[in-house]
Amino acid sequence: MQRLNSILIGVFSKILFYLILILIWETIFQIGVKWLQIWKPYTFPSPAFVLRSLIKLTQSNVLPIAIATSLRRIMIGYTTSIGIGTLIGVLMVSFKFLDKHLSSLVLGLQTLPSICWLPFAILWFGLNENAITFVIAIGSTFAIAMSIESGIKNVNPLFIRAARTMGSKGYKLYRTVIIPAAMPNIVMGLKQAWSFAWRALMAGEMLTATKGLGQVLMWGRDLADISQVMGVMIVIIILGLVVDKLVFSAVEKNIRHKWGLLHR
Amino acid sequence: MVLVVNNVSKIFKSRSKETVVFNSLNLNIRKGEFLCLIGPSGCGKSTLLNIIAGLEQATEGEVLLEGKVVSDPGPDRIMMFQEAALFPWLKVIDNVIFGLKIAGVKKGEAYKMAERYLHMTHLSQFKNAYIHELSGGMRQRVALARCLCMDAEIMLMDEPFGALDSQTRFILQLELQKIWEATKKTIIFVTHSVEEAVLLSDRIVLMSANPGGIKKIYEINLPRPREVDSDAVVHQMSSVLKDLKEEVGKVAKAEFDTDWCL
Ligand SMILES: Nc1ncnc2c1ncn2[C@@H]1O[C@H](COP(=O)(O)OP(=O)(O)O)[C@@H](O)[C@H]1O
Ligand SMILES: [Mg+2]
Repeated sequence: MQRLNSILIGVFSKILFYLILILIWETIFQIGVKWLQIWKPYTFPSPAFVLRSLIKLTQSNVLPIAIATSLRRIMIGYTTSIGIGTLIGVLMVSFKFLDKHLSSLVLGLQTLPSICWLPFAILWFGLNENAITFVIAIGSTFAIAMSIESGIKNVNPLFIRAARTMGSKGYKLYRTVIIPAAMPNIVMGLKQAWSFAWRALMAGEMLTATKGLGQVLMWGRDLADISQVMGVMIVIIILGLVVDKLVFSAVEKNIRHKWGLLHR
Repeated sequence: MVLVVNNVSKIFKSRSKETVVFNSLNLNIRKGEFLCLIGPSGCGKSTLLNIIAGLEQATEGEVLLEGKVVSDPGPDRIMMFQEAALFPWLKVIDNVIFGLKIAGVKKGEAYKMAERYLHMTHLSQFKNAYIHELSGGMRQRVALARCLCMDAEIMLMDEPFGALDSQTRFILQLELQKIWEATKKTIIFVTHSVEEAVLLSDRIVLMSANPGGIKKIYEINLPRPREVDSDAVVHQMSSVLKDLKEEVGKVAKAEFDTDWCL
């Protein structure tokens, strides 16, 4: 009962916060555009117009298709990066030589914004899905590889010693101790990789795509429809938040709870 | 002789220097005995235990377990560390059955055994807790339960109660004594407390540092249960303490390089 209450209060305070935000937004619109006329209506959207634009995009099925397309692309790209990133990470952990030389290279590559790979991608794959998948994957692969490498390398050696005296070795040692012990680190890497992938996807779609959220955003610009641009931006923010809350924060919270790290 | 430490030397080599921990160390451990290792810190107690456990390789010499050379860690020589070394991602009971699962014991059976040892260490109520929810003393009790659950012939304990408050330590010492008397396991127990060593052991091995090695072995033939304030125990303690102080003094002198005196 107490818990339900505090959840309800939390929800209400959140709704209140956004209502106030929208109210401020509307006020600024009324003063700046309608009353003082310092801004043109096509440079500053109002909440009502944005909502109308979102409804229109939904009714014409443009928005649902765009969302589905973008989500499909990121799923493909992200899964690919998990596969390749894990492989690179495991290779770095397994071979001293690779660890010594590859890890600084990987770290460097991770700092390169992945959209810089777009020219490459277009030359290799042409202007198509594969190019976008490539840009997404390459944006997140290195973050995953780094987190796997550092996660495994930073496992408390005492855990490994204790497990070994209990007869754990080889593959079993990895499965029962090293990977669970590295999990907090790895989940952090996965989360960071997701945000890299999401940014790479939007950039890629804005520059090349014929479908997807990024493309609808650019299409809004071409039409000089600021409400559409704003509407799509809000959809992108909400999707990002939803994935973060439902997937990564949930997993992270679970691990934090078990390990007793920082209660929130 | 269940365990024979045969001419074992250990040298740690790093780029800048070599640390000789001990040279040609010999020690025979009898079946079912409670043996304590004491000595100044840094004299190689943990290193010797690690070599017996198979976690560390001897530079020279060998450890024989019932005639066979020890080369790897194995569940026949369970080790307990100063820190509990429990896994934070597992519940208490799953920590306790960790080794049994590795050994292929069925889950139901493993749980039954774990519950028995958790009962023995007074942790039954906490079997579903996570490690961070326990106090230091409780964690060490979980580690003890995990160690006992493995039912290994040989138990290697590296200052297992060293970080505990004296009350908890006292309870666990009693608990360990009872278990040892009931099961007659071979226990090698590192401690920095002479009192603990005299109360618990059949033999005390005093190690020296620089050069490391065995300085003296005491047979403790006192009847059990032993009381801390009985004359015999006090007498035994003072004779061990005298030799230990001498060794500690040597180390301190070498380290501080002054006319240090205890
Ligand atoms: N992994 C290691 N590398 C280098 N030197 C070590 C290592 N482990 C222990 N030593 C050295 O070996 C000596 C014995 O250490 P240790 O066995 O831990 O002593 P104790 O347990 O008796 O306090 C110490 O001088 C320590 O510095
Ligand atoms: Mg030690």
